[in-house]
Amino acid sequence: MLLFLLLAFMLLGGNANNPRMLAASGVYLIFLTILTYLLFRTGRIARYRSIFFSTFAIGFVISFIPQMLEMRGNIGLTAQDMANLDVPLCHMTIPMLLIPGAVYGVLIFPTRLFSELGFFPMLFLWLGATVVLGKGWCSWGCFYGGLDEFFSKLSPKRRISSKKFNYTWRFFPFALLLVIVIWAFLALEPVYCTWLCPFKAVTEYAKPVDWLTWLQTGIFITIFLGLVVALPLLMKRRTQCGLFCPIGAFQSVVGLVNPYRVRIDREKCDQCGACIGQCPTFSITKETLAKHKVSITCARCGRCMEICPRNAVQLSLVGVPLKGHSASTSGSLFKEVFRPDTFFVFGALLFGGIFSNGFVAGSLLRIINLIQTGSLVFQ
Amino acid sequence: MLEPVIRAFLLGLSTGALCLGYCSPVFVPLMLAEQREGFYGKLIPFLQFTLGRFTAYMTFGLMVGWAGSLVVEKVPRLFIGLSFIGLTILMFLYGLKGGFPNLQLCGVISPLLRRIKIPFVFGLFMGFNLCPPFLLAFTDVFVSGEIYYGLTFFLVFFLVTSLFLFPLIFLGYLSALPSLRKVAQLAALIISVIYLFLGVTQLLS
Amino acid sequence: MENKRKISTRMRITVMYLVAILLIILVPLIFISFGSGIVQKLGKKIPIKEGTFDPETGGLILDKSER
Repeated sequence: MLLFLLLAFMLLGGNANNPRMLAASGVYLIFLTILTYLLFRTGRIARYRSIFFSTFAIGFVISFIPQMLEMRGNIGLTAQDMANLDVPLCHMTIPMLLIPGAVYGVLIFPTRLFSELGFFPMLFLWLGATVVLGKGWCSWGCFYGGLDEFFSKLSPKRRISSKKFNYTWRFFPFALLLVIVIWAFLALEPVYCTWLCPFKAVTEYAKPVDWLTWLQTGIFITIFLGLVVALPLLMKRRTQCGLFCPIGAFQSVVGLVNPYRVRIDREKCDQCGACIGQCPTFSITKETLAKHKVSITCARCGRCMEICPRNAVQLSLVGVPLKGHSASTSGSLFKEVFRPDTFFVFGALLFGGIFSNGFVAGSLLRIINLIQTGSLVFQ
Repeated sequence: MLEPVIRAFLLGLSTGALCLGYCSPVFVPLMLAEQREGFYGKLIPFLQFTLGRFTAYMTFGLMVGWAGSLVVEKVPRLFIGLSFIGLTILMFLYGLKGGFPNLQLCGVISPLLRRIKIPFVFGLFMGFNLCPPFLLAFTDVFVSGEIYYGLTFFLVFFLVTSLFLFPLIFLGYLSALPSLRKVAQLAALIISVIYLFLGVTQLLS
Repeated sequence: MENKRKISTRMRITVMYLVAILLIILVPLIFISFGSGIVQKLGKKIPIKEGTFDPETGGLILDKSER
C-alpha cells in the first residue's frame, strides 16, 4: 500500500503536464502494483523481479532508439555528433572516465556535463543507486541486464549443463575492467564503448564508414548475439552479466557500501548445491558454498533464496544475525514484514519503478503510435 | 611517445600478476622470511628487492633495444610479424589454460636463492622471468630497434608490475593471490587479443 | 557480561534497521533532488569540463596545457 502511494506520487507527479504520458504511467503503475502484490504475497522475489526487470529492458530499447532518431536524426553516430557532444552517456562508461577526469580534468566521452542524459545526472543517479541497491543495481536497475534476464528466461530447457562449466571465467569481468580502465586512460578514449559494448547492438553505434568501424560493429553484434542472446538461451543464466560485463565487476566492489548481503545459514545448509547450478550470475561455486559464502558478484536477484529446499539462503543486513528473521518464522504481521529482505525489495522496487517509468511508459506510447501511424518515432 | 607506454602498460598489467603470480609462491615467503618487525624492517628488504628488479628490467631493456637497433633492419618484416603473432597465440593459450611448461627461472633457481638470502638477487631473478608476456615484451622492444624505446618500455613495465607486488608484501593480501592470479590470467588473454590485433595491423600496413 | 553482549547486539540490529529505513527514504529523495537543480550545484564544484572532439575523426583533442 505504502509502495503504491509512493510510486503513484513519483510516477504520476513527474508527468502532470503531459496527459498522454500520465495515462501511460498510470498503466505502468497498475502493472507494478500487481507485480508487487504478487511478489509479497507469494514471496517469490526472483520470479516477479524478473518480469519487472525484463519489461524495463525491453521498454528501454523501444524508447531509446526512436528517441535518438528524434534527437539527432540518426542512430549511427558520426564524428560530427561526437564533436557536438550529442552522445548520451550510460553508467557503463563511469569507471573509464574517472581516472582521465581526475588527471586531465576532461571528460573523454563526447557528452555534455548537465544535459538530461549527460555526465553529472548519470553519475548522480548511479551513485544513488549504488548506495540504495549496491550490486543489486545489476538485478533491479540496469536496463541492459534485463535483456540478459529476458533471454535467459525464454528457453524452457537448459541445454548446456552447468556441470561442465569452468568457473574461472567468472573472473573475466574483473580482468576486463582492469584492462579497459587503464587502456581508456592511456588512449584517452572510452575503449569499452568503441570496441566491446554488446549493447551498442541495441542502442547506438559509430556509423560504419571504414574497415575499422565495420570491425567494431561486427564485434558489438557478435558479443550481443553470443552473450546476451544465445548463451542465456542455452544456459538459462545471465552470461553477459556474470561473465563479461566489466561494470558489473566495478559494481561488485563499490556496491559493498550497501549493507545488504545474501547469506547462507550454516545450520540449515546441507550443501546440496542446488543454488550453484541456478545462480544466474555464477556467484555461488562449490568453494564458496563450502564456506557458506556467496561471492561479491551476487546481484541480489533472489533466485537462490527461492529455490533453496531448506530455506538456508537469506537476504540480510550486515551485522544482523540470521536467525532473527528466518523466512520460516511465523508470527505477527509485524514480524513478517519487519525483515531485511522486505526492506530491500521495497527500496529496490521503488527505485526501479521510478527509474524505469520514463522508458516503459514512453515505450507504451510508442507502441500505440506504431499501431496508429506505423512508426515508433513521434512526428 | 605514448606508444611504448601504452604497450608496456598493457603487457605489464598481464605479466604483473601473472608472472609474479607464478613466482610469488617462491619469492614472497623468501621475502617474508627476510623481513624484520616494523615498517622499516619490511621496507628495506622490499626496496632492495625492487632495486634488483629495476636493474634487471633496465639492463634488459637496454640490451634488447641495442641488439634490435643492430639487427632489426636485416630481419625480414614478415618474420617479425609472424613471431609476434606466434608469441601472442602462446600468451593466449597460456591465459586460457592457466599453465605453462616450467620455463620460469624462479622455479629452477629457488633452491639456490634459499641459500643466498639477498633480496636484491631475488629481485634480479624475478625480473628475468621467461613467461610469454615477458617474451612478448622482449619481441616488442627488439622489433622497435631503439634503445630509448627499450628503456621507456621496461621502465613502465617495471612500474606496473611493482604495483602488484606492493600490496602483496605489505598488506598481507596473500590469501587473495589465487583470485588475483585468475584475474591476471584472463587479463593476459584479453591483452593477447589486443596484441594480436596490433600485430596483424602492423603486418598488413 | 552476557547481558551486555545482548544489549550491544540489539543496538546493532536497531542501527542496521534504521539504516535500512534511511535507504528507502533516500530513494524518493534521489529522484526529487534530481529535478531540483542540486546536480548542477554540486557538479559545478567539481573541476571537470567537457572534452573537445575532432569533427573529422571523433577523437578527443587535448590542449597542451591539459597534458
